[in-house]
Amino acid sequence: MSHRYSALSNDEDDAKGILASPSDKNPFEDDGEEVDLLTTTTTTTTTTTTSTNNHQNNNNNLDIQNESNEPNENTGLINSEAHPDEDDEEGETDLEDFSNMIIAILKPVTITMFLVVWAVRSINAKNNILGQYVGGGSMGMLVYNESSDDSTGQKIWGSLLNGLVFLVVIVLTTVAFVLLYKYRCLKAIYAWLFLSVGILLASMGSYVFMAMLEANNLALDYITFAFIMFNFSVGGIIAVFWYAPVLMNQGYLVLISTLMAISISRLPDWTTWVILSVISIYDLFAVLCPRGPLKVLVETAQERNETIPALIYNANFEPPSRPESIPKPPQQQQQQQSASSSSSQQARSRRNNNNGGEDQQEDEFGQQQQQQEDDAQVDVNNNDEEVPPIEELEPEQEKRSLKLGLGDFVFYSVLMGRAAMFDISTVFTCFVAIITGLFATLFLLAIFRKALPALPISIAFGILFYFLTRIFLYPFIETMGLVEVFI
Amino acid sequence: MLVDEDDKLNDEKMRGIARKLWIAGFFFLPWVWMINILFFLPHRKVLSPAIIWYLKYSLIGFFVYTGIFMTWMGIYLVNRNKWGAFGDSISITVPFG
Repeated sequence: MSHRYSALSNDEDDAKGILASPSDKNPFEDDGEEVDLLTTTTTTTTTTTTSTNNHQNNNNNLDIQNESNEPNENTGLINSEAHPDEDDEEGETDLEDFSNMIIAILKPVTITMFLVVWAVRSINAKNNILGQYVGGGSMGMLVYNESSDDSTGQKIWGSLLNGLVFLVVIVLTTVAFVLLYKYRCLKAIYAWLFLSVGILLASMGSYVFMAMLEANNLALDYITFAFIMFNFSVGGIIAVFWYAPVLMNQGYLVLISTLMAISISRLPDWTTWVILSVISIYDLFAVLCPRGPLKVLVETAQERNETIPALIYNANFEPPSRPESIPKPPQQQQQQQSASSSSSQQARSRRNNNNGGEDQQEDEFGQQQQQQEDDAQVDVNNNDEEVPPIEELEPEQEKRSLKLGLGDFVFYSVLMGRAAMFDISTVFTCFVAIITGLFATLFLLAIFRKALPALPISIAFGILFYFLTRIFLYPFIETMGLVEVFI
Repeated sequence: MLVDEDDKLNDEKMRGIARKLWIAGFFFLPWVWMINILFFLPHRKVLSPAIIWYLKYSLIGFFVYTGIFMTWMGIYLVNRNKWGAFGDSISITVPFG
């Protein structure tokens, strides 16, 4: 699995939105949660068994896993062997699985959010270079540039207009992307993603780096600066799109979303809120509607048995530990020692022994895949693609990984960045709200087992809690602070 | 993304990767050399001598490039005030104080 890469396309994030109030839906979701939990347990149970079968069928995948000697390789082995016992422990296992899943996705999201909060608060303090370049209103897509003197009506219409422009841009880029993917214009897609990631890392990275230097009153010369940024961005492109350690790949994805979020959160106040609402509503349609662009994208990728071509964060999580896993290490070592080319055969035969009657199926499957691989190598174009920037959550059962589009990271963090500009109290309430929304989405994911939009619930909670905190909690805290009362 | 999710690594492929990253590193990219080394670290038990050769020179190259630039940075930071106007003109940010 070290070779799973995903990339996210952020270009699409520069938009503005129209307003909608998703907040109405929140209470509903909240109530549903507990009930859902119960259902989840049973539902997932069935699914787990199915996925175990998948494991055995997808022998090829397992081979790959073995070859790369990664920890996840255990997943495959344990699953196939532990199969008989599974009935007893299913419920427990699923819950454990679920918690692993949550933690796997929670870590990167939290890191992104707090990087953004830290950057926004430390850069914002001084009115520096970043403000001049990326600052509110200088973004080319803004039709209306908000100023605090404007009347409420002007602000509302202006930000609605901005949001509309943002939405149109995002829809166009997404549709263009899906069309490119559908008609296999993969070179165009590569060029697009390379450029966008490269430019984002180089330009936004430079601005933020410069702003940080300035904020900390440090000196640096142009030569070193250029050298560092050049290394940083080229390394980023390689790490995101090509072979690199998994941790570095994930780290760069987090950085990309952080940079994107920093630039978006510098849009005018109301425009940001409108954009957030519009995007989360659009997300809902794009992922769930029969003809929604993101849904088409996911389905096409599944049909072709390919990775979804987009900038997507791939969270691997360890399967729950079971007693069976303890005797495993010797085998693992064996595998590690065998050279990679020969190990695949060994691994296959070993597995065949385990699985008995399934040999033929497996072999056929393996051959098929082999052929597919060969074909793919012939047309270089076949394998890789990238997707538009928005968000999906997708369960991937065989490999136990969870995918979250970078767009989700970006917009979560934009909300956090906005909250950080007001006060630190809103940061904490928004954080809890967003994470709660994410959990709710994960519960739904466990129930429906298909790609779900990750934005709507979280963003609705986030916006709701931001304004509640701002209106009710903040004055309370302020007063408490003034009279020095501690609760 | 250019890498298939079910990608298999065999010796030849690994050598190709190591070689490409090694070449890329010459364009003032010590960080790419570092990526090269870090990427093969988990596979260290199955590497062939050819790959190890690339990795060794990547590591050496990384230290050479980094050393040169760290030295330059040190010289600049120490002498910036002495150089006066010239020092300021090559600075990307001019700190106060």
